[in-house]
Parts: sequence; C-alpha cells; structure tokens
Amino acid sequence: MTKTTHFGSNRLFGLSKAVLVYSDAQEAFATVHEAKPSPDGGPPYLDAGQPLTVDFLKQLANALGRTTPCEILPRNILVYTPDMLVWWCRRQHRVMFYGGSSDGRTLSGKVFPQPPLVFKVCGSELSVRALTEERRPRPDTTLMVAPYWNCDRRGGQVCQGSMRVPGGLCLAARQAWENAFFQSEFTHAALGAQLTTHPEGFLGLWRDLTGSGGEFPVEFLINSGESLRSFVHAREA
Amino acid sequence: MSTVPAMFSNSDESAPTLHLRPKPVLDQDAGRACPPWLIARGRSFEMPRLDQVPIHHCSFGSDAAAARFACVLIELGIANPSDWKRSAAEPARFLQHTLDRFIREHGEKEIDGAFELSVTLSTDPHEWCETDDEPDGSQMFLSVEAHSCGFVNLGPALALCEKAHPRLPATFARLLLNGIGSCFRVYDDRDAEEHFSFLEESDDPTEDAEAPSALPDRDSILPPCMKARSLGLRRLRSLLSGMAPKDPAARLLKAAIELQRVSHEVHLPPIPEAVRELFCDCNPPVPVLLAIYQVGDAIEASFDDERQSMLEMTPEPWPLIPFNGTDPASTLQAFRCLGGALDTLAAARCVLDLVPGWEPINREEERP
Repeated sequence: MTKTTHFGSNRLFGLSKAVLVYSDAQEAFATVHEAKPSPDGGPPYLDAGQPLTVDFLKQLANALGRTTPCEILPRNILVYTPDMLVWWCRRQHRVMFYGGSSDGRTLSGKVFPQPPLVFKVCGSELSVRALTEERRPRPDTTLMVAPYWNCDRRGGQVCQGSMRVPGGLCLAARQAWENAFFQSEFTHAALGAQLTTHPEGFLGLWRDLTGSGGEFPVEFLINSGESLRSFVHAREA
Repeated sequence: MSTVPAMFSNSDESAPTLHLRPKPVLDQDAGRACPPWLIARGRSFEMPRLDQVPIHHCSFGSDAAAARFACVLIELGIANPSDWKRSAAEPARFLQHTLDRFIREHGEKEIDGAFELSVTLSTDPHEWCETDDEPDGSQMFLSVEAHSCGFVNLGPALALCEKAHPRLPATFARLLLNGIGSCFRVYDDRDAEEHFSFLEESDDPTEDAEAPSALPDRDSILPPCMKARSLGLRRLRSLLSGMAPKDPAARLLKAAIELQRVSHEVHLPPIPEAVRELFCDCNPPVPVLLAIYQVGDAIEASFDDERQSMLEMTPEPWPLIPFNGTDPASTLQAFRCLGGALDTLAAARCVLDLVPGWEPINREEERP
C-alpha cells in the first residue's frame, strides 16, 4: 500500500537514484544507479549502474511534473501541453465579487451573465479572453478583451492578488481555475484600459446586467486585436 | 577510517561486493578538478562514495501548522510520541510515520494481499488541487485510491452456499458486495446492468444494425442462484446455528456477517460542495474489486469494455474524508472513518480467503 502525507509545501525527499555522466571530448553516456543503504549502517553506496534509458527519462520527467498523461480531450479543450492548458467555456451566469473598497462594491455578490470565455493557464499564470460567439474558436478567431477588472487588456493576464491558485495543470483542474477566477474579488481596472464599449463604461455595463437572466451583450466587448493562435503563442514572446 | 562499499567497474553477478578503503586525501590532490569526497581517485575499481552527500532534502513552509496538527494527533492517541524522535523532529516525517503506523494497525498486511491501494493524508483534496497558500490545517483530507482493481470469481462460493440453502448464494454475495461497497467502489452485476442499459439507450439502430445483438442478454448477468431473495439477518443466523461450524458455507457467511458489521460502523462525512465541484470532470473512482460469477460472464465483459476508459480522466479518490485538523473532534472522526474503511477491507480479505479458488496477491513475486 502506498501511504503519502502532504502538508502544504512540506516535503521530504529521500535520495533514491544517481545519474553518472561519462564523457570524452565528443560523446557522452550516462548510467543510473540506485542508492542502497549500507549494510553496516554507514553512508549509502551506489548499486551497479544501468544504462540510462528513455523510459527512465520519462519517469524522471513525470516525477518532475513535466509530462502530460495520456487522456482523451474533452470537447472544450483547445491546447494541452505539460506547460499550458487552454480551454473555452460557454455562456454562463456566475456570482461576481468586488473588493469592499472598490467602486464596484455595490455589485459584489450578485449574479451576472457572462460571455463565452477562453482561459489559458501557463504555469501558475491565468489569462482570460472573451468570445462573441458561443462556439469552439478556430485558430484565426478574433478574441475579445475579457470585460473584467484585474485583467490585463494587452495579453489578458489576470492579476491574481489573493486568488487561491489551483496547483495543478491537468484537465480536471479546469473547473478549479474557473472557480478561482470568479470566486476571488475584482479589485481594480488595469490603468487606463478600456474594457467595454458600453456607453456608461465598465460599471455601467455590469450595473445593467445585475440579476439579468438574459445573455451577456457581446456587442459591448472590445476587440483585443489578438487571434486564438497569437493568444496561445503569446507565452513564447 | 570506515570502509566504503564499492563495486568492480565491470561487475558480473558472481563477483562479490568489495569494501575498499579510500585512499587518504593528500595535499597534492587539492588542486584536482573533482572534489576528493565525491569522486574517488585511482586507476581501477573505486566508486563514488556518498558519505558527505545529503540523502534527504526537506522543505518546510508549513512546519508550524503541521506541528500543531501533530499535537492534535498525539492528544487523540492516534500518533505515538515515540515517533517524534524517529522523525528527527520533523513534522512532515512525523505525520508520515503516524499514517504508516495507523494503517499498519488497521490490517495493512491483509489488505495488501487483496487490494492495490494508496492512502493519502493531505491538506489538499487531490494532488492537482494543491494551492500555493500555506495551509493552517483547518481543511484536511484523508483519501483512498485504488491503483488497480482486485478480482474475485464468486461462482465457486455461490455453489457452496447453494448446497446449504437456495437463498444463501444471494445472501452471501450481497453481504460481501454491499459491505465493501458501503465504503469503496466495487464493480459487480449492478454496474454491468447499468452499463448495458446505457449502451442500449445510446445505441442508434440506424448507425449500426448489428449493435443490439452484440450486447449480452441482460438476463444472463446474474446466475439463476443469485435471482433468489436474500435472507434477512435473523433468518440467516438461525440457519447458521443449524449448520456445522466448520461447514465451508457457514464459514463464508459468518465472515460476510462480520464484514457487514464492520462496514456498518463507518459513517463517511459529507463532502463540501466546493470540494465536490473540483471533481466534476473526474472519472469515477477505480473499483477496488471486480466480482464476477463465472469466468467470461457478462460482468467481466462489461468491465472489459468500461475499463478502457476508466483512466481517461483522473479518477476521483474514494473514500474522501474531509476534516478540520485544528479540531480534535473532527480529526478523531476522520481517522475513525479511515480506520473503519480499512477494517472493512481487512474483513473483506477474510471473506475472500474462504472463497474457493481465490488467490491473494503475491508481493514477493512482484519484487525483482
């Protein structure tokens, strides 16, 4: 039986293997050795080596969290790599929270219709864009600025503040990321950034939508000037 | 100077391990490129020594909260203070020793012979839900996951029971399957029934005219002896009192009654909605046991069909026991639940041992 304890960032790693790399001027090879406890209670020693294999490297990459499990992708997944998860979600109604000292405090805790959204998680960073149509975006689909505070208009990156960030980057964590986004407080707009074309601005938009059972009016979204392709590739810039 | 175990550089199996004495470090070695304590020098068979290489690395961002939780466990008698010394005063290691000890005391050896499990004590409901915040221990989880599915063919046991009374096969099977199923996922005739119903409902005759005939006959899922109604406990006890104590059927049923008793003592706490939501995209838990009534029967076929997608998405852990590690009452209840769930599996193992033809997992064979 495998027994694991995990308390926050507390970890206890034991030496299990060593990789020895041998090289001359041109070539190199490596062997993997298990660290064995010494029979006389002294320091451990390295057991006989085995040639380093691709399988071992895969296991090592797995242990270091640099792997993607073989999973069937749900329909709303757009990109899934060891470093990045991008998905889209349909229109929905969600409660939104605003900081108690912000201009949006009177809207806090109320239900609002949301536009279709595209989420991108890269490491522990979250970016959000909006869609005008409720269908799976194509690489050349134009993305809209997500009409939310705490979101950078340029790349859609979310200023996470005190958001409880999910630790994992697996398919099952999508809901946790969406919840983390909507369940944290929106506190401020990016400096000078226009988030909507609504005539009364950002607060006017959401004030009009308070408790609305209808759909989000996508005509008030602003073109981000970015396609899905460039949104995904932005991390490499 | 102590001896250093070493090996031949081209060792073969018949060569014994050599214990060489390292050469003393001389002044003229100081200018060499490699540190003398890491790479042994010499022309032949000296090997890297590890006497100054750290063999453990710890990170301890939540030590204070972990230590407070360790105190709660000691006060409750779940943890043993003697483990503190063994753990070199490291809370993380102490918690690991405590979990190891707790599981050992709840039938680990017996459980390992029948099931492939992992048990986790964590501040997160699952490894992929880890947050960057350092926890205070007020939200903790004990969880169990099956690595793979155990297996039993109950056919021979049913035959034994049927000889004693026509209603005993169903009585025995339901006691066993419901007993384990109260805490863990078991794959049995009810799952097969559900799976075939789903396939029938989702079948589009215009797409594949032969598909319905490919599905097994729903009536064949249960053998005839399982179609009788189970006996009530009082009636069962009265029947058992008339059977010889060493009668194999009587022993099976007594063990199954004990399993039911143990499993009834486990009351899993509800899972908070927010935590439940985290698992909404997960696959159901991997079953701890597949129970069939005959080799190659419809249940086995259904399982074969379903197992192909069981790991498509991360499986949900089950049971998942949430608790507040800063509250002794909540902590005690959670560990009682885990203990009860493990006792249930240990009691199930006692039943499986009596099922003719069932063989425990041989861990010795698995080791290289």
